[in-house]
Amino acid sequence: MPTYLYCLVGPEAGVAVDGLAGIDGGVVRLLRAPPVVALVGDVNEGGLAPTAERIRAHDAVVRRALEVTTPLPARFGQLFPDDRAAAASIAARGAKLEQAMELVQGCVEMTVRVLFDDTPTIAGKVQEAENPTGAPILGAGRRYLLELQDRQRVEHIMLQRARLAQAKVADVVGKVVRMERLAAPAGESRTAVISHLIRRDSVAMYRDALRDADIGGLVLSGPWAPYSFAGDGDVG
Amino acid sequence: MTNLFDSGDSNEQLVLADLLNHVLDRGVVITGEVTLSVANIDLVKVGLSLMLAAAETTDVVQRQALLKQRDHADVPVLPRRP
Repeated sequence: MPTYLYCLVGPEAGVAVDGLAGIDGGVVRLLRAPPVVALVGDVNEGGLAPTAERIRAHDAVVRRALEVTTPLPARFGQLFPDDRAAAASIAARGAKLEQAMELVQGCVEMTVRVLFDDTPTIAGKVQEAENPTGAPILGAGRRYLLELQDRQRVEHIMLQRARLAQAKVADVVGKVVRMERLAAPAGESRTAVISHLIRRDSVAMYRDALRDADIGGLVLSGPWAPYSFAGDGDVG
Repeated sequence: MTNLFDSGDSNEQLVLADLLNHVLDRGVVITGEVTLSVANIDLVKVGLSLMLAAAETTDVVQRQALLKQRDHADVPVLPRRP
């Protein structure tokens, strides 16, 4: 039965997993993989469909660890043939994992979604290039390139808006932010996501400061385990 | 802009979106295999010696790189007409 990885913690973390159910109700256990300890569980053979229940179960295990320490959360879906293979793979990356854990130690992640009311209108270069009767005069290639240019212009504007919002938020909470990530809106999206790594004892101050600042269009969630700062997602 | 500061039950869908974003697209990747499937059809099965990134993330990175290139290098995004 494959071994599923939830998160990693320090060897002295003292996470209690007794009675903790993971994905599909499976038992969660501690797996020593020096210099770290992994929270793992068994899952059935075959693919792991990413249902809402399983994703919640994954996060619930990570949150159990977050109650007593700062875990390094794993991305959903990582399977190993068995415990031995899991421990070997984790231990082989021990130095990088220790670095990543040190980076986030004592911290949590706060997520600020910035909801924009609208997106810039398409410039309409394609329409401008049509003749007054509306009959198409552009070749398919040129039409495609103009549309691509329009989309890039819109994304560029949205990126600037996202950076402006990021700066506004940073003015309010920047003093307690240790690291920051920005995901600007892409495609048709009107939402930018700002991820902040802050110390655990700063959460109340962070929330209060943002609430008092009354910046429109923000949705705050957290504290999360530091998913967005877990070694940039790849220590393999 | 509408102020939606609180992330309580009334914004459950947004919180779920955040949950999906964190758990599916963030977090440390060790190695081994990620296998995601729906109806017994494997959607993603990638050896993680290669970096795994959601298509959306890859797309964003590529687009931002293009925009950055346009900002700083003054390189035209589209080829000039002869």
